[in-house]
Amino acid sequence: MLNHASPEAPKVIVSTEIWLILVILCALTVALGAFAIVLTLQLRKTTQRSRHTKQVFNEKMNKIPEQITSPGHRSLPASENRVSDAPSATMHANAKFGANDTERLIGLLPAVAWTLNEDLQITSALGRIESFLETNIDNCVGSHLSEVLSRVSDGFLSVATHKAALTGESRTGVFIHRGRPFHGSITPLVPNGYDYTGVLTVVIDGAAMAHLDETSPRLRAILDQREHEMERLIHTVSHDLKTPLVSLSGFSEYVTRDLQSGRTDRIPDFVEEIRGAVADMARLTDELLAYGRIGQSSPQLEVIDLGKLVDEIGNSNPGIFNRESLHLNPNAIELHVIADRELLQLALWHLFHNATTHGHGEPNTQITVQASLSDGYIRIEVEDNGKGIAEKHRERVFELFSQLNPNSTGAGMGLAIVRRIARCHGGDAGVAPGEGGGCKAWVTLPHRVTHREDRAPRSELSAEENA
Amino acid sequence: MSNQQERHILLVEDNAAHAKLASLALTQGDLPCCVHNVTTASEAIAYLHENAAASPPTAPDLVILDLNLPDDATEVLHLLKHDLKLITIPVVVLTTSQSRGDFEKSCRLFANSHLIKPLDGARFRELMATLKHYWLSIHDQTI
Repeated sequence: MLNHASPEAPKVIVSTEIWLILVILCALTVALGAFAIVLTLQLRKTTQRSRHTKQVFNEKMNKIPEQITSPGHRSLPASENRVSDAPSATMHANAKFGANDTERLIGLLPAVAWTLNEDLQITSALGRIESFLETNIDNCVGSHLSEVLSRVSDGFLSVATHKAALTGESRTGVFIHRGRPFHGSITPLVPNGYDYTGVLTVVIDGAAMAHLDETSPRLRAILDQREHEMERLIHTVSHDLKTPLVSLSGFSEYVTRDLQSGRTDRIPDFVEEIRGAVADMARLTDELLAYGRIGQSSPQLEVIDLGKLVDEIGNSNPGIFNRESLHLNPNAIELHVIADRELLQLALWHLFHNATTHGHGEPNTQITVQASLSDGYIRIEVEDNGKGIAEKHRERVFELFSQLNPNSTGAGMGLAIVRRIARCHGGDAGVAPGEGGGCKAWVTLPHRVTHREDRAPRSELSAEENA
Repeated sequence: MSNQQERHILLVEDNAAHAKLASLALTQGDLPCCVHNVTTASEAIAYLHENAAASPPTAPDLVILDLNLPDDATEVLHLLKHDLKLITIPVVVLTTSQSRGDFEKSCRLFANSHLIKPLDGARFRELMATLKHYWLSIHDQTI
């Protein structure tokens, strides 16, 4: 048995710098691993919240039709007409609105709700019923009730009924405003034992709710889709963040082994791989954050000249794609869209970048941009002269981190971002075969009516808009 | 067949770093083997058809398949487990996915094994060494 080192054995001397690099790499690996775990946990939490919202929504939607359609009378006292326990029960628990299920629920329903203090000043408000109050609901906060109700003709929603509510008298009923039926509920907050003194008012558009059978499945489908997207996001993120971590850990292990054995010729190559994995991780994280930011707030809509926007993108990114390769059809040049400029620019940038990357290749890349109006939507098409996308992959390319080209240096987020931007505007995105065999990526945006001078030419407006 | 004859592994992996890590681990040890890396399912299918049509037919001794390829990895599995000329080639699915659905997919398509890439570098290397040892040394393909 050999229990001491042979004097002839080569002694390996490793410099302090290399050990320092090794320690830094190990620390980096641990930090990135912890980041991935925290991100995944955060996403799981968000999904659970989304599930809870859907559950609350389903419960409420099942109760509301009874309240809307049952009594054929107006403004009955609470003793004779059950106070609505559907939205207002939730409201009571959240008398001052915040980022909670109440806000989400009211956001989905054709309803407005506000709370008043003892001075009849509106302390919080949310919801949407187009033109019910003839003012943005957000502008109501801080106003006196009499100012807000000056535009509402029905006596049910009067200062007097709200004053009565301050003394403990609940009122609910169906009333007509501008020829439409509305369901109202005015509820005191004091008698229910809440620490907030005041009144809660809820108004639901009865005509819109009468179509509940039609709208409810649509809203449920939206929530189902969101839940499904969130689950896919968790799966994809946990998978794709793990990929660079495997590389980091694997090559760190080889660096360690080579240092221990005194072999240094492969270390620069392994360190380069580690740097590549870190760069991949950084890119994935950046793209994911960009994706997450889309849709967090409402799009800032403005009238945009599509032709000019395409020009701007082409001219400001000369190193990425050749402006000369971008061809606009005459309609696209004249057409105006109403969208969030920053988001539309980002979506078009990704479409052009994809067309350049997967097109015929420089200098022969040709990108054609077309836009048209159809069924109330503006459809923007970006077609390249590449090989196109096989039918079986046309949906998959919109998934997060999806790559059809193994040599691609992107994170595989471009088309997922495009679709998210389109959907947060109320439109959609897809890919179809191009007429020349390439890929035709399309985005639709709802064609909103604008009263500005620089709106689209009349000839391009849809028949219903002209009407 | 002598154990020292060079064995041939087809590695279907689109991530260049993972392919390099796997190749480094697989080419170490006493049992000599060469690793051929392709990055898409269609390349893998073309490679398998080409080798099966060669005279004499040559085929890899082992296929290591990543499930998350730019195109559909299950097409490779389907071909390998339904073509009688290729059916004896063991296929090991190697993935970062911990999805139960992916595991069931591998089972449904008769993969010989389904392995999850370990995050720990040492365990990754050991896993490669173990699967090479089992499928190229213990598992008998000479019958």
